[in-house]
Amino acid sequence: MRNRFMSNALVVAALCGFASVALAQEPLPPPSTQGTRSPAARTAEAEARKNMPATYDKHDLNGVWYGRNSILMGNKVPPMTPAAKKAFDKNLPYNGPRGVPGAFSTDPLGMCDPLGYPRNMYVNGRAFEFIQTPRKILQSFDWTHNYREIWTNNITLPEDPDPRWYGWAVGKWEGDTLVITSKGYNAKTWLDNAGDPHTENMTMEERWTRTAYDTLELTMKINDPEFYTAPWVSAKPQVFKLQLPIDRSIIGEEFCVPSEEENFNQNIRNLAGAGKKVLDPK
Amino acid sequence: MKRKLLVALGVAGIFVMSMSVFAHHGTQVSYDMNKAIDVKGVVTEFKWLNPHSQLYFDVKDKDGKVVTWGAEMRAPGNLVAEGYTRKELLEKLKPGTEVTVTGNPSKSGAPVLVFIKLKTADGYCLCNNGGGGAIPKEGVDENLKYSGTPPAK
Repeated sequence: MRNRFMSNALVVAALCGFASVALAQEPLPPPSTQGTRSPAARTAEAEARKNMPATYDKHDLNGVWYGRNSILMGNKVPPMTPAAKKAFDKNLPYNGPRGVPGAFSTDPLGMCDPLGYPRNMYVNGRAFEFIQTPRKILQSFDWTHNYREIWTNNITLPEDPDPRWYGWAVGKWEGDTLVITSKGYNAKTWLDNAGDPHTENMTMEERWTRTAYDTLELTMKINDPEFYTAPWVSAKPQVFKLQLPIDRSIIGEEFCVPSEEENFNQNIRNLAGAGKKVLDPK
Repeated sequence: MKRKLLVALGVAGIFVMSMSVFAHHGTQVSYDMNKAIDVKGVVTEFKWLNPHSQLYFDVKDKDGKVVTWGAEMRAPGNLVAEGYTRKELLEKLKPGTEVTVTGNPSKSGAPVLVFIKLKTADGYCLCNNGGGGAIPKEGVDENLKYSGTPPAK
Protein backbone atom coordinates (compact mmCIF):
# COMPACT_ATOMS: atom_id res chain seq x y z
CA MET A 1 0.00 0.00 0.00
CA ARG A 2 2.77 2.37 0.97
CA ASN A 3 4.61 1.63 -2.29
CA ARG A 4 1.47 2.37 -4.30
CA PHE A 5 0.97 5.65 -2.46
CA MET A 6 4.59 6.59 -3.09
CA SER A 7 4.41 5.76 -6.79
CA ASN A 8 1.18 7.79 -7.17
CA ALA A 9 2.79 10.71 -5.34
CA LEU A 10 5.82 10.49 -7.60
CA VAL A 11 3.63 10.52 -10.71
CA VAL A 12 1.72 13.58 -9.44
CA ALA A 13 4.97 15.32 -8.53
CA ALA A 14 6.42 14.49 -11.93
CA LEU A 15 3.32 15.82 -13.69
CA CYS A 16 3.42 19.02 -11.64
CA GLY A 17 7.08 19.43 -12.38
CA PHE A 18 6.50 18.80 -16.07
CA ALA A 19 3.63 21.29 -16.14
CA SER A 20 5.64 23.99 -14.40
CA VAL A 21 8.55 23.46 -16.79
CA ALA A 22 6.11 23.65 -19.69
CA LEU A 23 4.67 26.92 -18.33
CA ALA A 24 8.09 28.35 -17.62
CA GLN A 25 9.13 27.57 -21.16
CA GLU A 26 6.12 29.28 -22.73
CA PRO A 27 7.63 31.79 -25.18
CA LEU A 28 6.76 35.45 -25.31
CA PRO A 29 4.48 36.12 -28.25
CA PRO A 30 5.55 38.78 -30.76
CA PRO A 31 4.51 42.34 -29.87
CA SER A 32 1.12 43.72 -30.71
CA THR A 33 0.49 46.29 -33.32
CA GLN A 34 -2.68 47.89 -34.58
CA GLY A 35 -4.63 45.62 -32.29
CA THR A 36 -3.54 42.56 -34.19
CA ARG A 37 -0.82 40.08 -33.29
CA SER A 38 0.81 37.01 -34.70
CA PRO A 39 -1.47 34.02 -35.34
CA ALA A 40 0.18 32.18 -32.37
CA ALA A 41 -0.39 35.13 -30.04
CA ARG A 42 -4.01 35.44 -31.15
CA THR A 43 -4.58 31.77 -30.40
CA ALA A 44 -3.01 32.13 -26.93
CA GLU A 45 -5.17 35.19 -26.29
CA ALA A 46 -8.37 33.41 -27.34
CA GLU A 47 -7.56 30.55 -24.95
CA ALA A 48 -6.81 32.95 -22.08
CA ARG A 49 -10.07 34.82 -22.71
CA LYS A 50 -11.99 31.62 -21.91
CA ASN A 51 -10.50 31.55 -18.39
CA MET A 52 -10.67 35.14 -17.21
CA PRO A 53 -11.00 35.82 -13.46
CA ALA A 54 -14.55 36.35 -12.27
CA THR A 55 -13.54 39.30 -10.07
CA TYR A 56 -10.98 42.03 -10.55
CA ASP A 57 -9.79 45.31 -9.02
CA LYS A 58 -11.47 48.16 -10.89
CA HIS A 59 -8.67 50.50 -9.85
CA ASP A 60 -6.01 48.27 -11.38
CA LEU A 61 -5.39 49.42 -14.92
CA ASN A 62 -2.05 47.69 -15.33
CA GLY A 63 -1.71 45.88 -18.61
CA VAL A 64 -1.38 46.33 -22.35
CA TRP A 65 -4.56 47.63 -23.95
CA TYR A 66 -5.45 47.72 -27.63
CA GLY A 67 -8.30 48.91 -29.79
CA ARG A 68 -7.10 52.34 -30.70
CA ASN A 69 -8.13 53.77 -34.02
CA SER A 70 -7.22 56.74 -36.16
CA ILE A 71 -10.35 58.76 -35.52
CA LEU A 72 -10.04 61.19 -32.63
CA MET A 73 -13.29 61.39 -30.62
CA GLY A 74 -15.31 59.61 -33.30
CA ASN A 75 -17.09 62.78 -34.30
CA LYS A 76 -16.61 66.05 -36.12
CA VAL A 77 -14.29 68.72 -34.82
CA PRO A 78 -16.18 71.70 -33.31
CA PRO A 79 -16.26 74.93 -35.38
CA MET A 80 -12.85 76.60 -35.53
CA THR A 81 -12.00 80.21 -34.77
CA PRO A 82 -10.31 82.23 -37.58
CA ALA A 83 -6.92 81.72 -35.87
CA ALA A 84 -7.44 77.96 -35.82
CA LYS A 85 -8.51 77.92 -39.47
CA LYS A 86 -5.26 79.68 -40.40
CA ALA A 87 -3.20 77.09 -38.52
CA PHE A 88 -5.32 74.27 -39.96
CA ASP A 89 -4.73 75.44 -43.55
CA LYS A 90 -0.98 75.40 -42.96
CA ASN A 91 -1.11 71.78 -41.81
CA LEU A 92 -0.95 69.56 -44.89
CA PRO A 93 -1.93 65.97 -44.05
CA TYR A 94 -1.38 63.02 -46.33
CA ASN A 95 -4.63 61.36 -45.39
CA GLY A 96 -8.27 62.24 -45.70
CA PRO A 97 -10.02 64.69 -48.00
CA ARG A 98 -7.20 67.26 -47.75
CA GLY A 99 -4.50 64.62 -48.33
CA VAL A 100 -1.43 65.56 -50.37
CA PRO A 101 1.38 63.21 -51.44
CA GLY A 102 3.59 62.37 -48.49
CA ALA A 103 6.42 64.25 -50.20
CA PHE A 104 4.54 67.54 -49.80
CA SER A 105 2.92 66.90 -46.44
CA THR A 106 3.86 68.84 -43.31
CA ASP A 107 2.68 66.05 -41.02
CA PRO A 108 5.13 65.76 -38.09
CA LEU A 109 4.75 62.00 -38.40
CA GLY A 110 6.55 62.03 -41.77
CA MET A 111 9.64 63.44 -40.03
CA CYS A 112 9.44 61.18 -36.97
CA ASP A 113 8.73 64.20 -34.76
CA PRO A 114 7.11 63.41 -31.40
CA LEU A 115 3.36 63.09 -31.84
CA GLY A 116 2.51 64.17 -28.30
CA TYR A 117 -0.84 63.58 -26.66
CA PRO A 118 -3.58 62.82 -27.59
CA ARG A 119 -2.32 62.08 -31.09
CA ASN A 120 -0.15 59.16 -30.09
CA MET A 121 -3.37 57.52 -28.91
CA TYR A 122 -4.84 57.93 -32.37
CA VAL A 123 -1.91 57.59 -34.76
CA ASN A 124 -2.98 54.10 -35.68
CA GLY A 125 -4.56 51.25 -33.80
CA ARG A 126 -1.41 50.41 -31.91
CA ALA A 127 -1.36 49.32 -28.27
CA PHE A 128 -0.40 51.12 -25.07
CA GLU A 129 0.42 49.98 -21.56
CA PHE A 130 -0.63 51.44 -18.22
CA ILE A 131 2.00 50.96 -15.52
CA GLN A 132 0.74 52.00 -12.08
CA THR A 133 3.21 52.96 -9.35
CA PRO A 134 2.41 54.38 -5.89
CA ARG A 135 2.95 57.95 -7.06
CA LYS A 136 2.23 58.04 -10.74
CA ILE A 137 0.89 56.13 -13.70
CA LEU A 138 3.01 55.75 -16.79
CA GLN A 139 1.20 55.37 -20.08
CA SER A 140 3.59 53.74 -22.50
CA PHE A 141 2.88 53.70 -26.23
CA ASP A 142 4.24 51.16 -28.64
CA TRP A 143 4.30 53.80 -31.39
CA THR A 144 7.71 55.49 -30.87
CA HIS A 145 8.11 53.48 -27.64
CA ASN A 146 7.31 56.63 -25.73
CA TYR A 147 5.42 57.41 -22.54
CA ARG A 148 3.68 60.12 -20.56
CA GLU A 149 3.45 60.61 -16.81
CA ILE A 150 0.22 61.01 -14.85
CA TRP A 151 0.78 61.97 -11.23
CA THR A 152 -1.74 60.37 -8.87
CA ASN A 153 -0.41 61.43 -5.46
CA ASN A 154 -2.73 64.38 -4.89
CA ILE A 155 -0.42 66.98 -6.38
CA THR A 156 -1.92 69.74 -8.47
CA LEU A 157 -0.96 70.79 -11.96
CA PRO A 158 1.56 73.63 -12.22
CA GLU A 159 -0.25 76.93 -12.76
CA ASP A 160 1.70 78.06 -15.80
CA PRO A 161 3.83 75.10 -16.89
CA ASP A 162 6.39 75.19 -19.66
CA PRO A 163 4.70 73.30 -22.46
CA ARG A 164 5.82 69.73 -23.20
CA TRP A 165 5.10 67.29 -26.03
CA TYR A 166 3.12 65.06 -23.67
CA GLY A 167 1.87 67.83 -21.38
CA TRP A 168 1.39 67.74 -17.63
CA ALA A 169 -1.21 65.37 -16.23
CA VAL A 170 -2.69 64.42 -12.86
CA GLY A 171 -5.19 61.69 -12.10
CA LYS A 172 -7.64 60.93 -9.30
CA TRP A 173 -10.35 58.36 -8.77
CA GLU A 174 -13.99 59.37 -8.85
CA GLY A 175 -15.64 56.13 -7.76
CA ASP A 176 -14.34 53.56 -10.22
CA THR A 177 -13.39 56.08 -12.89
CA LEU A 178 -9.87 57.47 -13.19
CA VAL A 179 -10.18 61.13 -14.15
CA ILE A 180 -7.07 62.58 -15.75
CA THR A 181 -6.81 66.32 -16.23
CA SER A 182 -3.97 67.77 -18.21
CA LYS A 183 -2.57 70.91 -19.77
CA GLY A 184 0.74 72.44 -20.82
CA TYR A 185 0.98 70.87 -24.28
CA ASN A 186 3.26 72.50 -26.82
CA ALA A 187 1.54 73.62 -30.01
CA LYS A 188 3.87 71.82 -32.40
CA THR A 189 1.73 68.70 -32.44
CA TRP A 190 -1.43 67.98 -34.39
CA LEU A 191 -4.45 66.64 -32.58
CA ASP A 192 -5.03 63.99 -35.25
CA ASN A 193 -4.16 62.73 -38.73
CA ALA A 194 -6.39 65.40 -40.28
CA GLY A 195 -4.08 68.18 -39.09
CA ASP A 196 -6.45 69.71 -36.53
CA PRO A 197 -4.34 72.19 -34.54
CA HIS A 198 -4.35 73.28 -30.90
CA THR A 199 -2.84 76.03 -28.78
CA GLU A 200 -0.55 75.80 -25.76
CA ASN A 201 -3.57 76.64 -23.63
CA MET A 202 -5.49 73.49 -24.51
CA THR A 203 -6.75 71.49 -21.53
CA MET A 204 -8.02 67.96 -21.53
CA GLU A 205 -10.10 65.69 -19.34
CA GLU A 206 -10.05 61.92 -19.76
CA ARG A 207 -12.32 59.49 -17.93
CA TRP A 208 -11.07 55.89 -17.85
CA THR A 209 -13.28 53.09 -16.51
CA ARG A 210 -12.50 49.38 -16.37
CA THR A 211 -15.93 48.02 -17.18
CA ALA A 212 -14.91 44.34 -17.30
CA TYR A 213 -11.80 42.32 -16.56
CA ASP A 214 -10.62 42.71 -20.14
CA THR A 215 -12.33 45.98 -21.07
CA LEU A 216 -11.37 49.61 -20.52
CA GLU A 217 -13.43 52.56 -21.70
CA LEU A 218 -12.37 56.15 -22.33
CA THR A 219 -14.26 59.35 -22.88
CA MET A 220 -12.31 62.51 -23.57
CA LYS A 221 -13.00 66.23 -23.58
CA ILE A 222 -10.66 68.76 -25.19
CA ASN A 223 -11.11 72.42 -24.37
CA ASP A 224 -9.25 75.03 -26.41
CA PRO A 225 -11.42 78.15 -26.68
CA GLU A 226 -8.81 80.13 -28.64
CA PHE A 227 -9.14 77.59 -31.48
CA TYR A 228 -12.51 75.87 -31.02
CA THR A 229 -15.83 77.51 -30.26
CA ALA A 230 -16.99 74.58 -28.12
CA PRO A 231 -15.35 71.74 -26.20
CA TRP A 232 -14.64 68.66 -28.30
CA VAL A 233 -16.17 65.65 -26.53
CA SER A 234 -16.03 61.95 -27.45
CA ALA A 235 -19.15 60.84 -29.27
CA LYS A 236 -19.17 57.67 -27.17
CA PRO A 237 -16.74 55.76 -24.98
CA GLN A 238 -13.82 54.27 -26.83
CA VAL A 239 -13.32 50.63 -25.94
CA PHE A 240 -9.96 48.94 -25.36
CA LYS A 241 -9.32 45.24 -24.81
CA LEU A 242 -6.74 43.79 -22.44
CA GLN A 243 -3.93 41.90 -24.10
CA LEU A 244 -3.96 38.33 -22.79
CA PRO A 245 -2.45 36.21 -21.33
CA ILE A 246 -1.54 39.12 -19.05
CA ASP A 247 1.64 37.49 -17.73
CA ARG A 248 3.00 37.36 -21.25
CA SER A 249 1.74 40.72 -22.52
CA ILE A 250 4.22 42.75 -24.50
CA ILE A 251 4.46 46.26 -25.88
CA GLY A 252 5.86 46.81 -29.36
CA GLU A 253 9.11 48.62 -29.98
CA GLU A 254 7.70 50.74 -32.74
CA PHE A 255 10.28 53.48 -32.96
CA CYS A 256 10.08 55.96 -35.78
CA VAL A 257 13.80 56.15 -36.55
CA PRO A 258 14.66 59.47 -38.24
CA SER A 259 17.55 58.12 -40.33
CA GLU A 260 15.47 55.16 -41.53
CA GLU A 261 12.48 57.37 -42.21
CA GLU A 262 14.64 59.76 -44.23
CA ASN A 263 15.97 56.82 -46.21
CA PHE A 264 12.40 55.70 -46.92
CA ASN A 265 11.31 59.24 -47.76
CA GLN A 266 14.06 59.68 -50.34
CA ASN A 267 13.92 56.27 -51.95
CA ILE A 268 10.18 55.63 -51.97
CA ARG A 269 7.94 58.42 -50.67
CA ASN A 270 9.45 61.38 -52.51
CA LEU A 271 9.88 59.42 -55.73
CA ALA A 272 6.26 58.26 -55.64
CA GLY A 273 4.80 61.66 -54.85
CA ALA A 274 7.21 64.09 -56.47
CA GLY A 275 9.28 62.05 -58.91
CA LYS A 276 12.59 62.95 -57.24
CA LYS A 277 14.47 61.88 -54.16
CA VAL A 278 15.42 65.21 -52.64
CA LEU A 279 12.85 67.95 -52.47
CA ASP A 280 13.25 71.69 -52.56
CA PRO A 281 13.23 73.26 -49.10
CA LYS A 282 9.72 74.12 -47.90
CA MET B 1 -25.31 35.71 -30.91
CA LYS B 2 -26.43 37.95 -33.73
CA ARG B 3 -25.44 40.95 -31.60
CA LYS B 4 -21.99 39.45 -30.94
CA LEU B 5 -21.54 38.94 -34.66
CA LEU B 6 -22.52 42.53 -35.38
CA VAL B 7 -20.10 43.81 -32.73
CA ALA B 8 -17.31 41.62 -34.16
CA LEU B 9 -18.05 42.89 -37.65
CA GLY B 10 -18.06 46.46 -36.34
CA VAL B 11 -14.68 46.03 -34.64
CA ALA B 12 -13.23 44.41 -37.76
CA GLY B 13 -14.64 47.26 -39.81
CA ILE B 14 -12.98 49.86 -37.61
CA PHE B 15 -9.61 48.11 -37.94
CA VAL B 16 -9.94 47.86 -41.71
CA MET B 17 -11.09 51.47 -41.89
CA SER B 18 -8.28 52.71 -39.70
CA MET B 19 -5.73 50.78 -41.74
CA SER B 20 -7.01 52.07 -45.07
CA VAL B 21 -7.37 55.62 -43.78
CA PHE B 22 -3.88 55.67 -42.42
CA ALA B 23 -2.08 53.17 -44.61
CA HIS B 24 1.39 54.52 -45.02
CA HIS B 25 2.51 57.98 -46.00
CA GLY B 26 -0.19 59.17 -48.35
CA THR B 27 -0.48 55.88 -50.22
CA GLN B 28 -3.86 56.72 -51.66
CA VAL B 29 -2.55 60.06 -52.91
CA SER B 30 0.89 59.12 -54.22
CA TYR B 31 -0.02 55.92 -56.08
CA ASP B 32 -2.51 55.12 -58.83
CA MET B 33 -4.79 52.79 -56.92
CA ASN B 34 -6.86 52.21 -60.08
CA LYS B 35 -3.98 50.42 -61.74
CA ALA B 36 -1.94 47.36 -60.80
CA ILE B 37 1.21 46.19 -62.57
CA ASP B 38 3.52 43.18 -62.44
CA VAL B 39 7.24 43.88 -62.44
CA LYS B 40 9.81 41.12 -62.74
CA GLY B 41 13.31 41.60 -61.42
CA VAL B 42 16.09 40.49 -59.11
CA VAL B 43 16.15 41.48 -55.43
CA THR B 44 18.95 43.82 -54.40
CA GLU B 45 17.77 44.51 -50.83
CA PHE B 46 14.88 43.86 -48.48
CA LYS B 47 14.57 46.21 -45.52
CA TRP B 48 12.59 45.09 -42.46
CA LEU B 49 12.06 48.56 -41.08
CA ASN B 50 9.46 50.45 -39.11
CA PRO B 51 7.19 52.02 -40.14
CA HIS B 52 7.78 50.89 -43.73
CA SER B 53 9.44 47.72 -44.86
CA GLN B 54 10.88 48.14 -48.34
CA LEU B 55 11.93 45.90 -51.20
CA TYR B 56 14.40 47.01 -53.87
CA PHE B 57 14.90 45.02 -57.05
CA ASP B 58 16.70 45.48 -60.36
CA VAL B 59 14.66 45.28 -63.53
CA LYS B 60 15.99 45.11 -67.10
CA ASP B 61 14.03 47.08 -69.63
CA LYS B 62 13.63 46.10 -73.30
CA ASP B 63 16.95 47.71 -74.19
CA GLY B 64 18.81 45.89 -71.45
CA LYS B 65 19.13 48.96 -69.25
CA VAL B 66 18.86 48.15 -65.54
CA VAL B 67 16.40 50.19 -63.50
CA THR B 68 16.14 49.81 -59.71
CA TRP B 69 12.57 49.62 -58.50
CA GLY B 70 11.36 50.16 -54.95
CA ALA B 71 8.27 48.69 -53.31
CA GLU B 72 6.66 50.24 -50.25
CA MET B 73 5.58 47.54 -47.81
CA ARG B 74 3.88 47.41 -44.43
CA ALA B 75 5.47 47.75 -41.00
CA PRO B 76 7.13 44.71 -39.41
CA GLY B 77 4.32 44.47 -36.85
CA ASN B 78 1.75 44.15 -39.63
CA LEU B 79 3.82 41.53 -41.40
CA VAL B 80 4.13 39.57 -38.15
CA ALA B 81 0.36 39.76 -37.71
CA GLU B 82 0.01 38.18 -41.16
CA GLY B 83 2.19 35.30 -40.03
CA TYR B 84 5.53 36.35 -41.55
CA THR B 85 8.80 36.58 -39.64
CA ARG B 86 11.86 38.73 -40.17
CA LYS B 87 14.03 35.65 -40.56
CA GLU B 88 11.73 34.12 -43.17
CA LEU B 89 11.50 37.25 -45.29
CA LEU B 90 15.21 38.06 -45.12
CA GLU B 91 15.87 34.50 -46.31
CA LYS B 92 13.19 34.39 -48.99
CA LEU B 93 14.04 37.85 -50.29
CA LYS B 94 17.81 37.68 -50.14
CA PRO B 95 19.77 39.53 -52.82
CA GLY B 96 19.79 37.70 -56.12
CA THR B 97 16.31 36.21 -55.73
CA GLU B 98 14.16 36.43 -58.85
CA VAL B 99 10.80 37.99 -58.05
CA THR B 100 7.63 39.11 -59.72
CA VAL B 101 6.19 41.98 -57.73
CA THR B 102 2.62 43.17 -58.14
CA GLY B 103 1.78 46.69 -57.01
CA ASN B 104 0.04 49.97 -57.69
CA PRO B 105 2.41 52.27 -59.61
CA SER B 106 3.40 55.76 -58.50
CA LYS B 107 1.51 58.65 -60.00
CA SER B 108 4.79 60.46 -60.64
CA GLY B 109 5.98 57.76 -63.05
CA ALA B 110 9.03 56.99 -60.92
CA PRO B 111 9.93 53.29 -60.61
CA VAL B 112 8.27 52.77 -57.25
CA LEU B 113 5.06 51.01 -56.35
CA VAL B 114 3.01 50.21 -53.32
CA PHE B 115 3.23 46.51 -52.70
CA ILE B 116 0.34 44.11 -53.26
CA LYS B 117 2.03 40.70 -53.52
CA LEU B 118 5.15 38.91 -54.67
CA LYS B 119 6.15 35.55 -56.06
CA THR B 120 9.66 34.18 -56.30
CA ALA B 121 10.92 31.99 -59.13
CA ASP B 122 10.80 28.93 -56.84
CA GLY B 123 7.11 29.45 -56.07
CA TYR B 124 7.23 31.23 -52.70
CA CYS B 125 4.32 33.65 -52.41
CA LEU B 126 4.26 36.71 -50.17
CA CYS B 127 0.58 37.16 -50.81
CA ASN B 128 -0.95 37.94 -47.39
CA ASN B 129 -1.44 41.68 -47.27
CA GLY B 130 2.24 42.61 -47.23
CA GLY B 131 1.72 46.13 -48.53
CA GLY B 132 -0.89 48.85 -48.64
CA GLY B 133 -1.79 48.20 -52.27
CA ALA B 134 -4.80 46.50 -53.80
CA ILE B 135 -5.70 45.01 -57.16
CA PRO B 136 -8.43 47.13 -58.76
CA LYS B 137 -11.54 45.69 -60.40
CA GLU B 138 -9.84 45.78 -63.80
CA GLY B 139 -7.09 43.43 -62.58
CA VAL B 140 -3.39 43.64 -63.36
CA ASP B 141 -2.55 45.74 -66.41
CA GLU B 142 -1.32 43.20 -68.94
CA ASN B 143 0.18 45.88 -71.16
CA LEU B 144 2.65 46.75 -68.43
CA LYS B 145 3.36 43.19 -67.39
CA TYR B 146 7.07 42.48 -67.07
CA SER B 147 7.85 45.55 -69.14
CA GLY B 148 10.42 46.63 -66.60
CA THR B 149 10.01 50.24 -67.53
CA PRO B 150 8.30 52.79 -65.37
CA PRO B 151 4.71 53.46 -66.40
CA ALA B 152 4.20 56.52 -68.56
CA LYS B 153 3.45 59.76 -66.76
